[in-house]
Amino acid sequence: MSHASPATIETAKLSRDFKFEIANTPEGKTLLDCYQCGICSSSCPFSEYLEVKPHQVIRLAILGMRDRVIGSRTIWICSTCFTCNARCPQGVNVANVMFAMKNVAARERGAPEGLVELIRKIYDSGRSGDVTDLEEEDRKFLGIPPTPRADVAATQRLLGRTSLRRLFQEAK
Amino acid sequence: MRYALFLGCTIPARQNNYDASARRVSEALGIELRDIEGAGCCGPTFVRSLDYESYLAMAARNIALAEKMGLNILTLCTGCYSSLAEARLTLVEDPQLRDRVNELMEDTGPKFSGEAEIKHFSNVLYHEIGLDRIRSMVKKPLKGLKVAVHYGCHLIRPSEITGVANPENPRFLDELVEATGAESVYWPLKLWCCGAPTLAVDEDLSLRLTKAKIQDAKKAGADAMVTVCPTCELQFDLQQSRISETSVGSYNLPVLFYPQLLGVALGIDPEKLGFGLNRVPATGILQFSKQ
Repeated sequence: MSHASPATIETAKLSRDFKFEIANTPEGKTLLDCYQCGICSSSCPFSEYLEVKPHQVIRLAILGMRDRVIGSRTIWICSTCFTCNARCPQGVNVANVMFAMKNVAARERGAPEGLVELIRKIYDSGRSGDVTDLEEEDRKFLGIPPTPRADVAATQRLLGRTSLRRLFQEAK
Repeated sequence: MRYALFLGCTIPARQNNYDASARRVSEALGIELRDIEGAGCCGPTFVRSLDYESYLAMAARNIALAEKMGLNILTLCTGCYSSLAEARLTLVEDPQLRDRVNELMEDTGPKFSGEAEIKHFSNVLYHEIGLDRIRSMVKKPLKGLKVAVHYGCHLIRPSEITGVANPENPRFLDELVEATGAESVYWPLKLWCCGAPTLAVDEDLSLRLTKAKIQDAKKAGADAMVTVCPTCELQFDLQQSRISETSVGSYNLPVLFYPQLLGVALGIDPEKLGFGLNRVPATGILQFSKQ
């Protein structure tokens, strides 16, 4: 473990149910199968820059160190390349377990602003990128049809029913 | 051969060269593409990171639109491919989740049933058109051109979704590139992530991966990088000037979409393939169209 890890674990402070909180979600269901071989961390392209490596995040979750997991930078740095999933000998879908952890972190502590901005853009326009007159000019020049219309009303109705609605209520 | 074309967000906003070249090549190969009116964001990883159900519902709404057209979906974006294909599989296998998602989708359009299959453009080229047919149509073989092939993670992993038998050494995009007469070079970091999904979280870390990959491709002697993922293309092409060692000495590695490369080999006018929108000029490749 890295030098930043505590030398002792205060068992009284552990959230013993945290592992089930994650393992009972569709994305987190393989969490408990980890036997700490570390191949996820040796495969992760970001590992060398991470203070808490992927296999350590998994171990912290199984131990019940809830705050350290949902407060970790690692879960948000994950680029979801799925190399860890592909190589895990135990069939742990590490990137998916991280999705489950991020869902908890986003609800309780919020998400990185860059991601929230992209989601607000989808709510406002139906897409995560702006299609302006300039792009439509390009399309005309290239001889391809105009960008199909996005259904903003449908997108807003749908997202307004999900747990993401708080992002748009706060923004308004 | 007819498909509903799912464009996603990044392509119409920033990469009409991918759209145009894919449509030109499809036309030449007899693939008919129909746009999906009302389609929007697929529910990509940054949505999934915040809320799993929102991701599934966004993906399912788009799939349902194609189902109403009675067509299977063809995506150009590998991210959209992965989002839609995994959501479809999940919802087909889990009726409870499917009911929940249809509830979220109420009054937003047709219901999701799971009928429409999701295919990536490269899968259609490889499995339905086939290498032989592509080879037979090449008018200007790209002999001597060295290409660093970059798949895009979500096109190959996880293999339960993508159907790629060996995600540690996929070959289909290399073979598609080689069908144009170009050579696919070996580069050690080929299957690494481009870094793009982390850009909105930590720009410095994200660009470290991008830089390592571009340097690796250069070292392998690549004349160009070829991909089918818009997110990766944007990272390698748009960000390339930012990660250069000096303001003048850029890496000068052209980054092309596969249908642009194939289009040149098929003898299609490069202007119609959108080469004007590639940020790093692909001068060397354009020489082939003049031959």
